[in-house]
This record gives sequence, C-alpha cells and structure tokens, in this order.
Amino acid sequence: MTGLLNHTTMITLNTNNFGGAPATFKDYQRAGICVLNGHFSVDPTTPEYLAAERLELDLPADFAMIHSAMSSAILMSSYPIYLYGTLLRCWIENNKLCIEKLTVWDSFGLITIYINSAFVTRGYRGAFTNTESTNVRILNTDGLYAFYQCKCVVNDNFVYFVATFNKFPSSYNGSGPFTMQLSGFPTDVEVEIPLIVQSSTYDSTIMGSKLCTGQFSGGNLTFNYPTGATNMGGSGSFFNFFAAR
Amino acid sequence: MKLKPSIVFSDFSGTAGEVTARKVGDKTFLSTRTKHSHLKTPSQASARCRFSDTTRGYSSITEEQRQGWIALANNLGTFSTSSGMTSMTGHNLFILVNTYRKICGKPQCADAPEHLIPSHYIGLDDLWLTPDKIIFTGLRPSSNPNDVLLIEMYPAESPAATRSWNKTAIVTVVPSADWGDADISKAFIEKFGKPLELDQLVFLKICWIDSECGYLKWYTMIAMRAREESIFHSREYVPRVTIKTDQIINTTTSQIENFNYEMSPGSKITSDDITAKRIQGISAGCEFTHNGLDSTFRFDRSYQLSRGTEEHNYMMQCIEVLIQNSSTKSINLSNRGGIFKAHFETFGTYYVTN
Repeated sequence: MTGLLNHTTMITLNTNNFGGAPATFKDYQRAGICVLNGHFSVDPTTPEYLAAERLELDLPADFAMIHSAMSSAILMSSYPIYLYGTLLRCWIENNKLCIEKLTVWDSFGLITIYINSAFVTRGYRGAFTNTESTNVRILNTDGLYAFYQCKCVVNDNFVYFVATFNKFPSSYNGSGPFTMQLSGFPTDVEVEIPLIVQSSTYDSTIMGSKLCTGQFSGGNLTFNYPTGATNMGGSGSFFNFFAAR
Repeated sequence: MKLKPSIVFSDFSGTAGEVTARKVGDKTFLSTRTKHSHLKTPSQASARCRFSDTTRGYSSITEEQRQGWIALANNLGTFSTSSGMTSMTGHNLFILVNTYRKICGKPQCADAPEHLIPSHYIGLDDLWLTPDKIIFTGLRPSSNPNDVLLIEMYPAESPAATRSWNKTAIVTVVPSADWGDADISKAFIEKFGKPLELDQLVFLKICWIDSECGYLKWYTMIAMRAREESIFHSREYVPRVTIKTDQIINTTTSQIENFNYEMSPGSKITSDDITAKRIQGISAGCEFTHNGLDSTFRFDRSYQLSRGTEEHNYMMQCIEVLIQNSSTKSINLSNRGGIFKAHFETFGTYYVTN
C-alpha cells in the first residue's frame, strides 16, 4: 500500500472469478465505512466470466470490512460511440467485492465497471447527527451549466458529490473538451467518474443510458463527447459519486 | 434393576404396583413410580423423532464407517463430567454430530469427518430478556462461514431454581446474525408456549456451531432474570433505524415492491434497496404514506442512482428519496435527473441531507 493522505491508500485486487487482470483502487478503509475508487475491464468471452453468476474480486486479507450493506457500481459497455450502460448492485461479502452480473451488453465486447462508492455496515442504534453539506458553485460564465440539484459533503478523508443539471453541454455544443469550473469542491480530489448524459431523446430499442467519462482534478470537472455523437448530454445529465481524497 | 417377588422383606429393591424401592447403603428408600404423561408438544415430538432417526442411522452404516467414528472419538481423549473423567464412544459421537447436523438442516453424515470443528463461545454487546422481546445485539460475527448460532434456553418455573443447565432446550438455530442482531422472541414463544415473566430466571446457552460438523463443545452460558432493561448495560431497547416494505402504504398511484432502508452513522448515511412502480398518473415519481417511523426520521433526503427495470431498458435516472415523519407522513421517490421510468429500482449507499 502506498500512502497518499492520512488514511487513503491504493489497493490492488489481484484475483477474481471472471478471468480479469488485477484491478487497482484508491481506497479509504474503516470498520464502519470504506470508499473505493477505480475501474476495471471485463472480457465477457472468457470461460471464467461465462461461468460466473456474479463478479467477485478478492479483497486483501486485511481489508477493514468483511461484509457491507448494498452499494453500487456503474457498467459502461463498448457499444459504439455511446457506451450504453447502467447501474449495478455492488457489495462486500466474505472479504470479496461482489458485483451483479448483467449480460445485456456482452455482445459489444469489453465491459468497464466503475466503482466510486461508499460501503457501510448496518446495525446501528441511537442518535444520528445531521449531514453538513458544502456549498459548491459553478464559475463558468458561458451559460452551458446550471445545477438543478447539487449536494456535496466533504470530510477529511473522502467526498460525496451528486449533481443534476438544468443546463449541461450537449453534443450540439461539439465534442469538447468541456470544463466545468467550480468553487467549493476540494482541489485535491482526483477521480474519474461516469457521467450519465442520456439527453431527452432516446431509442427505445436500445438498452441502457448513454455514458461518458469525466475527470475531477483541481476542483473542476473535464469531459468530452465522442466524435459523431448526437443527442448526448444537455439538461437532465447527472453524476453521483464518493471519492477518497 | 433386580426385582424380588415381594417388598414385605427388609432387604428389597424393585417395583411393585406404583411403588419403587431402592437400596442405598444400608437404607431402603421408597418412592412412587413416575408415570409418563404420554403428552408431547410438537417440539418434543420433533426432538424424539430426530434422536430415534439418528440412532437408527448408526445401525445402518458399514463397519468401516463405524470404525471411522470410533477412531475419531478416540482422538477426542477424555473430558470431565460430574461423574468423573469419561471419553466419547464412536456411537455417541455419531449421534451427537448427526443430531446437531439435523438441527442445522443438514443431511445425516455416515462417514466420520476428517476432523471436528468444535462449537465456540459468542461475543455480544447486549441482551434483552423481557416479556415481549428476547434480542441479542452486537453479536460478533464468526469467521467460519459454516457457523450458525445455536440457542438453548430454560425458563425456570421456580424462583429458587439453581443449576438448571441440563434442562435447557433448543429454541432455534439462527443462520447468521442480522448485522449483529438475533431476535428470537417469536421462536421462544413457539418453543415454550408463553412469554417470559418479569423476574423469571432464565438459563441460556448460546454458541456458534459449524453446521457441517455439528460438534457441540464450547458454549456461552448466561443465567439472568427477565427484566425490562438490557442485561449487560441496563439500557432501554432502541430499534435500528430502518424502514421495511410492510411499513409503507401503497397509494392509488404508486406501488412499492421492495423497501429495505437503513441509516448508518457518519453522519447520516443510508444504505438501501428499493423497487417501486407508478401505476397511474403523469408525475415523474411515486408517493407513499406510512403509519409512523422511528423518531430518528424527520425530514431525510438522499439523491440516489437508479435504473429502470428490464422492461424499461435499465435506463438510469437520479431519484430523490424524501422521507417525512412529522405532521406529514410520506415517502416520495421523485425523478431529479435522466428520463423517468415508471418501474424502477434505486439502491446503494448515499449521504442523507436535509
């Protein structure tokens, strides 16, 4: 493990049940809450994947949490241009990181699983304190961005950020790169996240939502759309993630 | 027992009619013979059936298999009992292991296992022994995935009862603790037919036992009197901050299929798994009522990732989960991003903000 900040490290999950390569995650670990950030590829043609009922990655033996409550991951397919995907169940069980297997996009080639999630334990009683949010504002003056809902929670070891947009760049604005400049979001968070950029126009014969990736760095979000994309992004786009600092 | 033709002589032992005589040293004791009531509860019937099935099982195994059990029993060595040091026979070990395997829902095992994993003590935070609840909390998980929680109890009928450990009966086997909790209130009533009374003395044995191995050896023993406060920390019982499907009332427009919601600290974080359906109307969401929730819930809102069900192409949306538990008692699931799909799931771990 390599120390980044006080409690943040990197872990590599060397073995899995789907014939995949080792996967590396930035992590924050405590007995009651863990945060993982990273992504890995899954080849849906391997015999191991075909035999698996769910995806399992072995966590290090000294990982702080043996079991977690339900968390989530995002599947990004290799569907041409739009990388259609969806939300997957993800949890920790018997020292394994477990992910729901959905085979809908297997025929399009490699699948990428993004995990930018918190994992908690249950069984608590007594008083709970209210969550304090941090005020995050958009600095861009180009009129391309406006929050519909925005909640950001910052603590010493990780952040949580959810935002939905009334205004967000669409593929009609070009391919980018686009940068959403923010004030209030920590500048030390480095994380790659999926953006859900479906737009209000969709083809009901295609499974999933249109996705692209965004990079938080220096307190700002940068992303771009694939060349040739249409009806991507715009109002209704959103993201939702935890990130270890 | 040696039966003599009559009990009218000074040196005698045996039974005549309803009277039994036994000689201890140079004294003779008379007692009335115990009559079996031949009444049996379903639980007693089940236990007797289990025992006789297991006993019959030993007679049906091969000699080689018997030798395996004998060898395994010999390896256990001797142990202390109230009548001195003794050792386990192969037959007794077969009965012991297979009786507990059956209790744990496992089939009878003809071959002796290579080794035995003995049951072990439990660690817990607190325990409530009250007339309406028998609940363990903070049970430390076992590292053995085959372990189940075996709980035996004896609610003493006399306030003066002491050392009634040999009277405990199996109340239930719990496959795994629910995040450290084991609520056996219902199983206790089913076993003993009535709830505890305040100040009633309770003998309780509890252990983690390997359900494959079924070898009962070490267990935690607790003898306490029933009371309203918790046994170890004298606390009032406080339920976990959860919402389950049966606490939610469907409306004419919305139907809940699954609602499993719980709060964890740090500060407020929800972990949940919810499936809902808007069955009529045009609003981009679902609205429900409830009959009152834990007072921790007041006005709690989370923004969650969500997906449509398969018939809605698994399309993603952002759902606001808003729980109101004051003068307004409602749960609203509203679309806040992406395209609303009327039949959807939202699950994961998220901060709860107000």
